[in-house]
Order: sequence, then C-alpha cells, then structure tokens
Amino acid sequence: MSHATVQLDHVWKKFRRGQLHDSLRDLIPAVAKKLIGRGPKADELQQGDFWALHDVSFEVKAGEALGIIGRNGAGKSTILKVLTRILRPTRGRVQLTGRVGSLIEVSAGFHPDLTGRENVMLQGSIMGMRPAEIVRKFDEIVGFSGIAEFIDTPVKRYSSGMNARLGFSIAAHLDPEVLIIDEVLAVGDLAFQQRAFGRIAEMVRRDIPVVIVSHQLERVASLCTRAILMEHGRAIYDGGVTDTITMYVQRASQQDTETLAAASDCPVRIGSLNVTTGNNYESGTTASYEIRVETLTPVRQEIEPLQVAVRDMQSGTLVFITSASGLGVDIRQPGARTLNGTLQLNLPPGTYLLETQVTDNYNHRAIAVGPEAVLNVVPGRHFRGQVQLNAELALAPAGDGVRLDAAG
Amino acid sequence: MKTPAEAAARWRRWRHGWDVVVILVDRDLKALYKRSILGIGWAVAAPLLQLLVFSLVFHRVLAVQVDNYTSFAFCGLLVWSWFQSALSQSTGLITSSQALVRQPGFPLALLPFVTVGVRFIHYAIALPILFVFMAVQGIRPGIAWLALPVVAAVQFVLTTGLAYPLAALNVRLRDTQHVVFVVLQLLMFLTPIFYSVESVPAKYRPWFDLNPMTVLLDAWRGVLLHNHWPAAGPLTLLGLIAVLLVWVGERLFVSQSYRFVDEL
Repeated sequence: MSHATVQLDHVWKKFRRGQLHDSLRDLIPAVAKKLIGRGPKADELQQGDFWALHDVSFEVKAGEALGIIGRNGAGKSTILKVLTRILRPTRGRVQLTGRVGSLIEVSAGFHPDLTGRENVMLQGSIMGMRPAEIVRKFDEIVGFSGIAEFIDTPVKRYSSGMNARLGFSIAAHLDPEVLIIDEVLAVGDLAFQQRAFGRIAEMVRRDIPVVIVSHQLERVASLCTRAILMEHGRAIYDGGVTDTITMYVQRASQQDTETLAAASDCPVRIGSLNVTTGNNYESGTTASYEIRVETLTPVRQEIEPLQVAVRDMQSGTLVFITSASGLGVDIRQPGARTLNGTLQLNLPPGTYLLETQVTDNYNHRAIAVGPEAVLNVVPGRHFRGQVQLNAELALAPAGDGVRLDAAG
Repeated sequence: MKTPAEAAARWRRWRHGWDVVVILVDRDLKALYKRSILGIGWAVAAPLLQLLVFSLVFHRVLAVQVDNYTSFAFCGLLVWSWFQSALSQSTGLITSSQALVRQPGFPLALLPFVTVGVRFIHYAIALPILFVFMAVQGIRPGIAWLALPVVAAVQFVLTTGLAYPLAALNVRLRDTQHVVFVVLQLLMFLTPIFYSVESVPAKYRPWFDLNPMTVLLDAWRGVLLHNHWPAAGPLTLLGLIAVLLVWVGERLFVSQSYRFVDEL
C-alpha cells in the first residue's frame, strides 16, 4: 500500500510567448518598474502571456492510474513539470509526496563521456537510489535494457534508442511510491516497448498512483483507470478512460489552431479538418478530407504553412508526413482557402490520428497545431506486417502449367 | 515537534543529498580527465607552471623580498586557485547543467558544493608538492596544523556562499560570468599571493584587509609556514559571514530555482 499523495489544487501557470529579457538593457527598466510598484503583478496576464494551465485540479489515489490526453500544446507536459516541481505554479497548490519515479527525459542526465556502467550509477543515484541498491540491481537493469554488450562503451557512442532504453531501465527499477510517465513508451524496438509496457502495468497493479501523459491512446486505454482531457490549458473532461478518449476523438476535428509557447506568432490559421469519407476504412482504401486554411500574413520560406501527418495511436509514432508545399500547393500568400486531399490508407489495422500543423522547416518542430481526426483502419484483404502493398496474386490460365520436376 | 516520519524523510533527504554529491564529484573528476594523458596530474602541473612564471616576474624581476619565497608564493597560489576556479566554475553551473535542472526532484542546491568540492580535491592533490618545497626550505609541521581543517572549512563555506547568488544570477543575466571572470582576474593582483601584505603602503592597507582572501591567505600561511595559530577574531568573523552567505544564498537560490527551467 502506498502512502503517496498526488494532488493539484486549482493550479494556474502563466507562460510567455517568445523571449524573456535577456540582457541588462531590458532588465533594468523592468526591475525599476517593479521596485516603484508600477510593474505588472506576477499572477496577471500581460501582453504576450497566456495560461498554459488554467485552473487545473485533480487528485490521484492509490491504485488509480490517471491518463492525461490532449493535443500538443494543450498543457499535458506542463502538468507533469508542475507536478514534479520543475516549474512553480503561478497560482494554486501542488502536493506530491513519496519516492517519485519519473519517466521523464530518462536519459537526459547521462554524461556523454562516461560509460553506460558509470552512467547507471550516476543516474540511479540522481533518481534517489542508494549506491548499494544500484550495485545490487545492476545486472537486472542492464539485462532489462538489452544493451549489456555496450555497457562499458561511452554513452556518446550510443544511438538515441539505446540511450532511452538504458534510461528507462534505470527508472523502471526504482521501486517508486508514485510513478510519473511522459511519452516514454515510444522508445526502442517493439520487443522493448512490450517489456516497458509490462513493467508499467505491473507497477499499476501494485497500487501505486500513476500519472501518464501520452499520445498513445490505446496504451492509455489499457493502462489507465481514469483520464483527463486537456484543451487550451484547461481540464475540460475528467472521467473514465473510455469516455475521455471518446470525447477527445469527437472534439479533435473541431479544434482551432493553437500556437505553441516557443513561437511568438503564427502566420497561418488552420480552421477545420473534415474527413468526408467517415471514420472507418478497410486497409488499402482511400480517405478524403477537406481543410480550411487562412493565411494571415505572407509565410516565410523556412515555415511550412500546412503539414499533414498520420500518427499510429498504438506506438505513438508518425507513420506518414507530407505538406502543402511538398504536394505542390502554394498557400504562402494571404487569403482564405479550402483544400481537398486524399490519403490511401495502406496501413495495417489500427487507430490512426490525422494531424495538421504549421511547422518550422529548420528544426521540424510545430509552430502551431491544428485540428485532428481519427481514422480507424480495419482489416481488408489479408496481410500481416507494417505496410499494405496492394498485393495481387492469381492463377495463371489453365494449360500453361509446367511440372517443376519436368523443367530443364 | 517533528513526527518520526518527517524526521525519517528528512534523514533520507540528507542521505540522498550526500550520495548525489559524492557521485557527482566522482563524475566530474572522471569526465574532466577522460582522454587526457596527464589526467589528474594537471592538478599539480598547472599551478607549478604558474608558479614558475609568476615567481620569475615577482621575485626576480620585481625583487619582492619574502622569506622562503617559493613556499610562500606556492601556498598563496594554491589557495587562490581553489577559490578562483571554484567560483568561476560555479557561476556557470546552472547554465551548463540543463539536464540536471530538468530532472524532477533533483536537489539543485547541492551543485555548488560539488564544484567547490571538486576544486578542493585538486587543491588537496597539489598540497604534497607544497610540502616538498617546504621541506627543502626547512619548514617542519607543527601543532598549529591542527587548525588547517578549520581554515579549509571557512574557505569552503565562503566560496559556496558566494557561488549561490552568482549561479542564480547568471541564469537571468549571462553578463554575470563575464563580470566574475574579470573581477577574479583583477582580484588576483589585489590579493597578496606573490607579495606580502606587509609591503602594501599603510594608507591602502585597510582596503586590502577587507578582502576575505587576504584574511584566509594570512591564516593558511601562518599555520603552514610559521606554525602560528590563526588570529581567531578575523577568521571567526569571516566564518560567520560565510555561514550567513550560504544560509541566505541557498534560500535565494532555491526560491529562484523554479524559474531556471523557464529561462534556460
């Protein structure tokens, strides 16, 4: 039985778009204003500010696994950062007690010049294990990660997948009283993902309160007992996991464009995404959709005004990405437009999310995320594997048959 | 009154803090000298090279007159290097430890101790060379050496106390590290490392005595080179100021640490 508490009590968090003052020249006037009492109050919105969290409250009890779902920029990760005290809420109270196992940026603390072995000691200790405990669990940790043969190699020679696997393995052997997970199930190969998933499911069964942020709706559905849907920093729905996911799916296509925190402004508004051929498809058939886009100001070359992508909801990975520019459609000049598109769903059966966003070509990051739609792919002609290749196979006309042993 | 559960939690926090400091010191020492032939030998080689150049300039060219000049200068140089390297490194501590800043629950306030500790180890490694110089110049250990841990502790705490506000400020204003660099360079010449504070003209002397490193150097040299107990008054005062600095600095640092992720 765990005595941990996980609680957010009317939490608000203010973010600012773009940069804070970076040099003395900007800072001095700001400080001076604050000193003479004319400065802005810390907990009110100024120009360029927005609420990344807007009055969010919840409590997770022992034996409960809470999933937090929502689009990019809806405030999911901010909840975790506030919960783990990396960020302080602008208003409200946060309670988190007990030994916290957090699967967030699990390999970020690795030192590139040190070996895997040295980093296990380092990271394990940072996460709260005693040195003797790490030594005791060392073989188990390395075995779980599946990278035993590289354990004495400096971490800088690891692939990002190996990094993530080792990081996850350390965190997974922490024996936490509270577990906080951010999208880590999307690392490593399928076998490792299954192992990681099993490990988390086991912790949930041990009555540990768990908070999971994920794009992998199917994973959330199978791990969580309850889920919260985030939209624009607000928790708009809190209930049973199936209900919340249904709600998310229904609302996804009606969402307005949301500019993300790091970008100061966005030249394009993606108004709506309508899949005109419904939600259910046989593998290999074609979905048609309509997107309304409004370009507000001329779009610079380094920005892609419309990216369309398909995300596999089980693995959380993007299986297909394309863009207006890539498909030869120029929407860089101001104006309101309607676009018609199709996608041939040569995909194995599963649930997929059709996502729209405005992207910075430079680092492939989203500047703003637009509406989304869910596509269910059901089995069509039989196949197994990752891609539907529209295989054809037929019998040759009678009489042309040649006996194999008679050939040559 | 604290409940037993709270006391146990506090004890676990302290123990975890100690574990983390030890492992991070170990990491820094290992990482610093990976792929280096001389390795930790640089802790000895660097001050020796400095000693060579500076003693040439001050002792031979400017003809500074002090007994046992080599021991005198090397003692000053080592103590100063510890202070200077620890302070300049801890100023950039947060900006260069972004991964740790984002680690949930990581006790950031321990980082200055790690840096000052790593630099102390460098100092301790170079000390035997000083003992060799002293032996050659006929200086023997005495009973006053028992005061060495106290002097080292005062310098340790003082450096950490200065490190907290500087590290926090540098997150907001990167100018800090440049200012610290310049100030430390200038302060090196205003601290009696290669000359004796006795040779400073009387009208400037009070200003020199305000420099905490003057007080510390005086204590180190008194104990090591002359077997004198350190003057209790200035050292106690400095010790109190240092503790106060850590106390205030740590609080300031922790209250600011919520902003670090926002601003990095």
